[in-house]
Amino acid sequence: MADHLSKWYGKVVGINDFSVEIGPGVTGLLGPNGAGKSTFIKLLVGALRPSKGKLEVLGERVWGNRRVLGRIGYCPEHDGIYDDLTGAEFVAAMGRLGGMSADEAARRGLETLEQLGLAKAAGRLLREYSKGMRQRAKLAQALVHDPELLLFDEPLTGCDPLARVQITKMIKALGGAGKTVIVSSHILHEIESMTDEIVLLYKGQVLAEGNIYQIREMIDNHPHQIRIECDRPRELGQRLVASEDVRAIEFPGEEALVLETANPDGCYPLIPRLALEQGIKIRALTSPDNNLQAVFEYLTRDRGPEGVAPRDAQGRRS
Amino acid sequence: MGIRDMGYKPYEGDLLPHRSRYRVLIRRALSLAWASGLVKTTLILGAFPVVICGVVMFLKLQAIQYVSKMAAGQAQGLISDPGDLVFTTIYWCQIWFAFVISLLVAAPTIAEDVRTGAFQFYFARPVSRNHYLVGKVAPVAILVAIISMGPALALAILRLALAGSGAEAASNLKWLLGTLVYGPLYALVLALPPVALSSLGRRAGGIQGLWASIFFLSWLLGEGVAAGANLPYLALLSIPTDLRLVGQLIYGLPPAYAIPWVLPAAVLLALVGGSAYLLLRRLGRVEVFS
Repeated sequence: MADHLSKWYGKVVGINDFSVEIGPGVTGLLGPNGAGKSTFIKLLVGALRPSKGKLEVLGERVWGNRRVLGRIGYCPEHDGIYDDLTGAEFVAAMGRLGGMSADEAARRGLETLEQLGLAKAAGRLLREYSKGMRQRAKLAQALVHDPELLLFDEPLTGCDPLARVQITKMIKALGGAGKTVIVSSHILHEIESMTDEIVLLYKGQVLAEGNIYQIREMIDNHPHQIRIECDRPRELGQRLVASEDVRAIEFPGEEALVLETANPDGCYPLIPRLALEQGIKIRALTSPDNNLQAVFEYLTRDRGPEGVAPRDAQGRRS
Repeated sequence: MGIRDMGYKPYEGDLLPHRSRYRVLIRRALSLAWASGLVKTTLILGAFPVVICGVVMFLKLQAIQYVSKMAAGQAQGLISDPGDLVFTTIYWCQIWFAFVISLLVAAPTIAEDVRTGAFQFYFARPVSRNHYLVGKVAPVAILVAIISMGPALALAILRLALAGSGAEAASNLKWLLGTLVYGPLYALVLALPPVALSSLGRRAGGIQGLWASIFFLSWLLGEGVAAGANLPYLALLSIPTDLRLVGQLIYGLPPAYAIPWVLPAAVLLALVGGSAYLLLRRLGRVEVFS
């Protein structure tokens, strides 16, 4: 529970007057880079000290409170892993720091790595791991001591599609088992795949919180761009422009087109279908809006001169 | 989907008390240090002087006995007692190895954690800043003590074992007791300052260079100027010389410089205290930003 929580680094504001209450289950922290997601998570894990306001985790203040820290599992965004340890050694070492005996930490470490699909790589040095494998090793160390509160900062970064599915399933399962799981991301569909409950952050403040579908609706009103890299962009563009979902098309290069749509859910299946019909080879399909920055700017522009949605009677923003 | 569907089992074992973190961190750091080939080589090479000094001690005692027999008890003072090899070993021989250990293990210890961002793993666990500090200083002090105090203790025990009488053993007990007092101080002086320096930056190489400069330049300037200009008090600038003067006091040997013993002791105390203060200031309330 955060009550008017603020954290600033010198003159830079990390989060500002932040009030939120998060219960069991999976909650997504969604916001563009610099929104304050990592700052909030670090405050929750006691790595940062609040500058102002009140923060309680599992009913207790968290800064310097070892009792609470033992009940938290944290997977940071950045690596910071000792490369000369094997996956099993790393996870076991973290279990030991969590208070487990050497035997228990080793046993649980292997068990957790196995759950995350790293059983075969457990004996390999972390420096030999791919980005996705390192990510899973970090998740394993967060889970090894079976904490009540799990904090995952951008957990899907760098993971391959299979690992994404595996981690997403695990996060949902943890939430389903009654644990409190907080996951941060700047990518909407990542959060959508894990939970319906989200807290929308922007410039260090809570912009909105609640069900993802309401927020999705707001976001969907914003024109969405899709960049397609293919061998015959003009031919594909001709077919696409006939669709009522497509608002505009640009050709930024010889082998690319960018379309603007108000209905991305309708467009994403349409593109491969048309390409298949025409025999056009698509090399890449990306959304320049993925970092959410444009969407958030759009949302805040619509919501008053301060750029932040007004609070309701409970102090929540809608 | 329930969590058990994924094969996940809640942990039902016991958790160890918070004080166990000291042991965990120290063991972890020691095993990491032992994994380094350079540290292992230094520790192995550091065992050679004690073997040589042990042989010298034995031969010197044989020579004393021989001359004593030949001169029918008139040999006293012709050959000095080899007990002072204990101090020669711990100071003159082992200081090089102890310094290398401090350079390899102490100087990078916190800087590496800052560089790799490992703080986020430590301090998101029930690990206090004190756990962390002790877990960083103690392994270095233990390794320095192994390489310095270990050989001196072995020689002191050898001297007692080679004593021909109870009275001779009693008169040589000072080498053992002196080492037990001097060894921990010696280890702290070579462990705390480089660990404190390590908290100042993130580049291990830079910290190592700084520590080597402080150690050797102070030695060179302090002793060089003190001897050259006949200004004994300048020797206080040298960390190794202060260590030497305090050692000579503890072992009851004549001091290298005519300086009141309290001064080098105060310099070492200030060095250790200042380093501890710096560490507490730097890490006591550290926040993890990245």
